[in-house]
Amino acid sequence: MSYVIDIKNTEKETIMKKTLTIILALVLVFALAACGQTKPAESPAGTETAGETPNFVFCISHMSNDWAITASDSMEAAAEAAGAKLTVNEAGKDISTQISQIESAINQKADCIIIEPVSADGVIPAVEQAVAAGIPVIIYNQNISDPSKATCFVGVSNEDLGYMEMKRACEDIGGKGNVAILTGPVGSEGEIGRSAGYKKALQEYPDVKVVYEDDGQWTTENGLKFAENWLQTGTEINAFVCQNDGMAMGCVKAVEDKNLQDSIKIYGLDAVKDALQAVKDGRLAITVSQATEDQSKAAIETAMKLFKGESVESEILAQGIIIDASNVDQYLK
Amino acid sequence: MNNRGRILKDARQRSGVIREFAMLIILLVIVGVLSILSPKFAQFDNFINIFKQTAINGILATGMAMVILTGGFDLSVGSIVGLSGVVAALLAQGNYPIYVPVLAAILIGTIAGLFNGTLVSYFGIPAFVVTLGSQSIIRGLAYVVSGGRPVFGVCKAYENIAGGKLFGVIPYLVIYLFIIVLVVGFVLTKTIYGRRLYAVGGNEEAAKVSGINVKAMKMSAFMIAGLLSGVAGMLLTSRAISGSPQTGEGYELDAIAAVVIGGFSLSGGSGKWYGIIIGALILSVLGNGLDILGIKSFYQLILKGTIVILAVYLDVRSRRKISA
Repeated sequence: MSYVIDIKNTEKETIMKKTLTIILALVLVFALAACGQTKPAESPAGTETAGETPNFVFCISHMSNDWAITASDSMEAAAEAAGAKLTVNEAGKDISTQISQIESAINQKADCIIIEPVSADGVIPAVEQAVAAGIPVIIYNQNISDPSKATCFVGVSNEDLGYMEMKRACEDIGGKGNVAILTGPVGSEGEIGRSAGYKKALQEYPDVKVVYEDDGQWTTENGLKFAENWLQTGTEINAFVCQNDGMAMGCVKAVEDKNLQDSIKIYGLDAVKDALQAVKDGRLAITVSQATEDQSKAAIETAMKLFKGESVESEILAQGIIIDASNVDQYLK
Repeated sequence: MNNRGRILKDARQRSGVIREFAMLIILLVIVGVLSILSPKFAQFDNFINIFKQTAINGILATGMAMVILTGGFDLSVGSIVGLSGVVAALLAQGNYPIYVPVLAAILIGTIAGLFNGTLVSYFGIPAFVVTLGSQSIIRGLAYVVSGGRPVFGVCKAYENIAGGKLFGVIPYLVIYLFIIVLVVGFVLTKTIYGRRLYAVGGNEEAAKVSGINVKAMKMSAFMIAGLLSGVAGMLLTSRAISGSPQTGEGYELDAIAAVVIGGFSLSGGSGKWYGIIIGALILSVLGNGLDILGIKSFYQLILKGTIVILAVYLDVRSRRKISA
């Protein structure tokens, strides 16, 4: 190891040599990994003395919305409670950044890497590298396209969340009527799952008709604009069902501007603070929590188990929670 | 020489008139077609709605037009909307008098414009590079200031800035748009400053020789664009009753599209103030009409792009005619 560091210090100038250093380091890591490959989960525990602080790395895709910040905060809190050291790396939605962050976590011999992937496919080679190096990998919240590559998945099923939301909306309007849907960016992981859940629920209620559906890009402004334009047509709409709370809040504004809040119910998902307040005030019918704190807790618990060399299940799902007027106070801090 | 100059000027004016006409006709055709396709479209209510949805982009486009007139363009306006929006939302929680968030947003926009303008004018860095850089810097600041979270909980008085209606009918948002466009129209057509803006974009060398401070003119155009982006950011958070650091991503392109469709030449020096509003209206009428018809927003993107290319083609063609 000291040999590698020497090269780094003395021959900084040329990129060629830097690259060589990295390759050397990787070869070393792979060589080490090859020894412990049969029991990947145990190798870090084996090299650490008992009672030493485990070192976890959390690679999050971005930190630019409420959910992501809740995820990272709750992960840090859970790690602290478990007595583990946690480093949070933020990739700014860029897959190549995330890959380099995973690679440096491998180099630093993290005891476990928790990844909230930027891309369901793009992250796989880096996941393989980590597992090959004997470092357990937990995929968090959004699964990768080939889950078998990672040690396990901790999250929540978007399909379940969407199903819960749409089912409740259909029940509330009496199993019959018109709904308008605002989805996330079409083709995004969240949208695919939640739309599948919507579809499943709608199949159970054949008398509920989808009169409008469009891509609201998760934003309040778009929710507002679509709702305004759809309401303008005079088509009867009994409920707006939105794949996140931001868009739902836009619908709330549009419906209230038209004074239709008594005849139209609005459904959100994610349980952000503003939406919880709106549920409490009776402006939003429900929001669905993806229980981010529970997911984070489960991820750290799983990482601790792996650190101690215990076996874990390949998929650990937290349960989504419907939040309506009856239980909103519990969640509104 | 003098005679030839006059002929050239006439030809340019004539083709300009045809262009503006063309876009007005396109707007009317779109309105006509949509009215036939949906009885819900051509209603007073909906026209108010369309103007309301035009306001933010219209205000941004007005600022963008100033910069384009001087031969530059500004890619940072969307980020300025984001930053001024979150700052205004943070200050509009009811702790301060209502003019505090409003002035803060305007000030932030103007400073951002000053930054862009100074680097372009006095450091000689191309506008594309400067505003590409500041787009990222300002977006980053918006994330830093808000901690990445959307800002909710703006007070009622702040919500009323954009949400209120004059006589309960005309949204304030529409009134702001018209005031801004009319003021800019007046400045462009009736003041020395306006004529100098055209001169700088039309022929920079000639403008310099005739004693116009070209650098200061260019810088001031960026400042106006920044100021109006600050206003737009403030109005948008008032309308959406929340400020998000992501707000305004891609808005610069809609603003440029509106200006170009409205008949401004990207090489600077030509364009009429009312073209801005026609350009912005074409975009929002399309959006509104297709939403009402229940056509997915993906098709709006295709139509929008087609119209932008068509508008520039008309511009290029009219230029070629003059030089032929």
